[in-house]
Amino acid sequence: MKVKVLSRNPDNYLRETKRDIHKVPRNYDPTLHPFEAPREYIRALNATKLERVFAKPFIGSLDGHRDGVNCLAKHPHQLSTLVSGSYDGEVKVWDLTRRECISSIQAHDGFVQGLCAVPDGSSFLTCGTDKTVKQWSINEEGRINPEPVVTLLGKTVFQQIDHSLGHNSFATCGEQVDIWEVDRAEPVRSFTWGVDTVHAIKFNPIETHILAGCAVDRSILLYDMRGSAPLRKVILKLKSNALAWNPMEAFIFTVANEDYNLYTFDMRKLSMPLNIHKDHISAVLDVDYSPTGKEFVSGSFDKTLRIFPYDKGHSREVYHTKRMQRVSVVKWSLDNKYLLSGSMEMNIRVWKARASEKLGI
Amino acid sequence: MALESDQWESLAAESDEEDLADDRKHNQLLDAISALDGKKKNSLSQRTVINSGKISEFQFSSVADAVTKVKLHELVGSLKETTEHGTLKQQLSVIQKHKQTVSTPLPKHEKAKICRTTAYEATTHDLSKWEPTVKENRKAEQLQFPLHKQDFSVVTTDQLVQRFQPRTPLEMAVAALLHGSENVVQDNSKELTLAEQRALAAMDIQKAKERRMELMKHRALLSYKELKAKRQKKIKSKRFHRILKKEKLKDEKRLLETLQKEDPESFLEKITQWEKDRVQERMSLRHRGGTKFAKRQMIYAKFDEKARQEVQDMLQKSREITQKLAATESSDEESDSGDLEPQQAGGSAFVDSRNPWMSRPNVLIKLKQGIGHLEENNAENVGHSLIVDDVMDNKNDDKGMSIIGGNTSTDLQHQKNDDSDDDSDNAIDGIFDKLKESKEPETEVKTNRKQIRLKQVRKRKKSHKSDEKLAAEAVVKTSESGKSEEGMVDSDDSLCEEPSKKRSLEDMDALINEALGQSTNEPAPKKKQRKRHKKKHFQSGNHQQSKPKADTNIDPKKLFTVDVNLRQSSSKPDVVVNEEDDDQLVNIAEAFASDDVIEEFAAEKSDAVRSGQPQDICLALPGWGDWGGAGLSISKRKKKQFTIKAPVVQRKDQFLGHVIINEKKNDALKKHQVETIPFPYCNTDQFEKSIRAPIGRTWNPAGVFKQLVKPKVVTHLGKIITPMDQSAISKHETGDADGKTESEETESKQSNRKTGKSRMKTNKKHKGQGKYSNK
Repeated sequence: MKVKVLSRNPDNYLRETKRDIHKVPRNYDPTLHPFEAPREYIRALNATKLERVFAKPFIGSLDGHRDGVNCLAKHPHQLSTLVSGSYDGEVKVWDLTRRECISSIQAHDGFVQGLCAVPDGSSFLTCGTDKTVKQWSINEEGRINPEPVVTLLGKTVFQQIDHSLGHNSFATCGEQVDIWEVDRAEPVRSFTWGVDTVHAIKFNPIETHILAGCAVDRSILLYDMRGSAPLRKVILKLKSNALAWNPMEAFIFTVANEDYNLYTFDMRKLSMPLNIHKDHISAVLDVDYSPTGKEFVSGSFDKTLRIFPYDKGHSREVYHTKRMQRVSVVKWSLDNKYLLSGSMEMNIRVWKARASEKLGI
Repeated sequence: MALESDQWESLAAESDEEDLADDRKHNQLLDAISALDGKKKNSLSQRTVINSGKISEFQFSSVADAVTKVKLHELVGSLKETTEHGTLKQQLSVIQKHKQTVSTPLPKHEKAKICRTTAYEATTHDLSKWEPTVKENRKAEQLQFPLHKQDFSVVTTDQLVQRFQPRTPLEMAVAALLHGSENVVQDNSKELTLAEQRALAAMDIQKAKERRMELMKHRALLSYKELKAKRQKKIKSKRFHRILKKEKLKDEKRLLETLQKEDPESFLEKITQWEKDRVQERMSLRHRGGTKFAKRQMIYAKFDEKARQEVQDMLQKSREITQKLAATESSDEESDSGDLEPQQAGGSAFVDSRNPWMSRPNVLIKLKQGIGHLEENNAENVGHSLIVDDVMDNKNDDKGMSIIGGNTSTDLQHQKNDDSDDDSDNAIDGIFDKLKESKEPETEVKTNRKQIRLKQVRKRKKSHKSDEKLAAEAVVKTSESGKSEEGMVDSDDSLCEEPSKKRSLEDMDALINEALGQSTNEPAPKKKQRKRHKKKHFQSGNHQQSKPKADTNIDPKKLFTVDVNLRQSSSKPDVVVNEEDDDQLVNIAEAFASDDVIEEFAAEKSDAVRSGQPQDICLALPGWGDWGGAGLSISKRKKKQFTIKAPVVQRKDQFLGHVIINEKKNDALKKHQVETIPFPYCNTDQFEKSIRAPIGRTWNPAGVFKQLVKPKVVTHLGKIITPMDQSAISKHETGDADGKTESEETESKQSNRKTGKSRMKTNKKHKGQGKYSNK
């Protein structure tokens, strides 16, 4: 004979450990919750407001430069190390956790125009208005050897420098785009197209033989390091100041333009930008992608930083302080948590990438 | 071709060699002559360069000399002289016929342009291999950065063991034990442990083989048995199974007998087990004859007299449960009969008539007693008793006979339902045999039960006619008990099957009624009518006459066999339409029968108009300037005075009969509305649904809530996220990439337009290959 008894599964009302939250039985029948939409609305509103309330993006500033900061470089392996170059030719290495300068050298006569780290993390390259490219070795603590490892003499002024991630070569730009290898005194390849100056150059981080540059003739140029000729040129209405490749999507790049906007392009279809990012109220001077490829940060002549989703037309965040002057260079840290900006008033600033995120700092 | 040319070269060399030797000799001679005057002519002449008009491929010719310019016809001139090298000659002639100048190279900028285009196309194609990866990442519900591939390789026990280092004292002790033991494999190269090896060495091969064979046989037998059982189980033949069952029972029986003799203890055990079974059977409420329990009990009956009784009881119970409720009615009537005081025997008889199976054994006993009485009484008495049994019963006269009468009639009724009970049947048959002997010779009593019944009825009729007087007397004596008698007669009537018989019975009723006419009370005819109803009802039950009447009597056995006819139940006549078109029309009409679209629309519009019109505002206050008190109403004048009239708004759809124009479009809202559907959604519905669905944990189970609020991107503090690398591309795309590198190699070689074109072609080809490889 079967005797029916009440039976309940203890899994439904007992928690597994003491640390688990209490299991609260609930009836999710929508008819019992007639005000779900208004309540959700209120909650969403509160969440948004609280996010704004807790938005404290500014972490600190690194001061020590004696002239405006012109360029920044992230260390490829150490999140706490940052290299910066200023208009007086000085290069400084910073410890971000302690917010202090580890070492500094007078790298160039005149501006330090470009700065980039070598992917193995043992050295970095600078180029300046003194027509030289110098390689500096840096140890794990961030100390720079005062004597450059390599000094390469060029015929013209170098505007910017970038190192390929996959190859042992780097590119400089100026009157022409040169591809160098560190152990050679002469560039292995030179690209010219017309007579205009290229003032920004960036290697594609995924397809490491492709590079793109911005020229003074309002154009964006694409190169393939393996070929002898440039690939393509796109001419915009105004000059582009900087360029950044998406580190997760090989064919996407964004340019910072003089016309206050940023343009995201698909390299395969250059006839139209994928997106136009508007919000700045003055020329955009620099742009850098987050390592996740979902957002990018831009620094502008209007003394602000803005964070844009890569597929949205407007920024989700704007950072500024009273004292920050026009932002010449911005970087997004490699762990996707911080922003770094160098500005004309000689300071480097550290920001949170998500303004209200708790980071324990 | 190459071979031929070699041959040709060697031949040419042979023919030239003789000339060369001559020339050399000639030169040497000349030198010798010039040396005679003791002065060197020049150093140039030292080199043995042939300056003759003939050209040899083995010697240099001075390029500067315009005269000695090499011509094709000079080179191949020797071919004319020979008869060999036919194919070569042919080829040469073909070349000479179709000679063309090479086109001039393109200007530098044009060339560069083409180079750029082709290079760009190649790069674009190359980059497209990232497309699926990128799309996948964009669509991903959640991305965890850094996007490193997880290592899914399974760690084997061996690897774990190799990595394991004993640290704690316990681990050390265990390790020491394990390593010292002979039962652990020490050397991985060997499959067996030391102990196993020794055991193997000690074992006799012959024995091992035998043992193995034995085991195999055993296993085979088992499997055969299993197969057989399976096969037998599948056999559908009932006969087969019956035989099988019988065999089993027989076996059990035999076993039991042997057990009783040999092992009384286990026999006792078995018996207790059966006792338990019985209890279980009783609990199961099944009460069926064919159960295992019943069969076992039959075997068991040999050892216990009670066993048979138990089965019998059970069967009775079963009948009791499954019996039709109809029988109660007669008893109801009897209970209606008021004064009737059931005496002990009579009472039991009534109970019996309700459920005769309960008192079967008693019946038998009484029957036997009755038979004893029967012998003493005469036939007339029998007839009387059979009809007016209850009367007799009440009188306490001839007790045994009355019981016989009552019981036999009811018994017969039930025997019709149940044929299984042979014992009682036989007993009754026996009684009837005896009855036959004792009755008058003209009454023919047959063993057939139906016939018996009929005879009984006939007998009754006769007795009615002949002994009307007597009956009337009896009835008069017990005025109310007559009704019960009628009831009895009715219940007997119900058994009649032929209409003619029925009529005769009715006649008989009428006779009885005549007889009862004076004595019965007022309610009698009513009751009779009711009885008639019942009688008819019974008849209908028997003859399956289709007279619709609510039948509350439910036969438990027929519960599921009732055939429901829906056709008859439908009260409305079906709409019969001959043609298909009409059918459709009807359908449409039916479908829209309840929809009055026009009226609905008109109502909707009037609603919209009303809600759109601003309302009058009445600012009149009660009591101001009026008399105070309860139940005040504002005067009309006042209302009119203080009402602000709302302006009449002209609607756009005022003169449009069939249109409602909504003029309440809110521009403030529009600002917050979504213009385009965001990325992952395909249509509006999808998006709206996702927006409408609540997210909070108040409205969703914990799991769903977690899923809903899952962040799109997860990064970890202090973890460097490197750019995507080539390993992210799935395998099928790598084939495409290989194709690309090939085309790259060809690309570096080309320099003019023609090759540029060819390269484009190769690119296309590669694309095609890529597609093919994708498939």
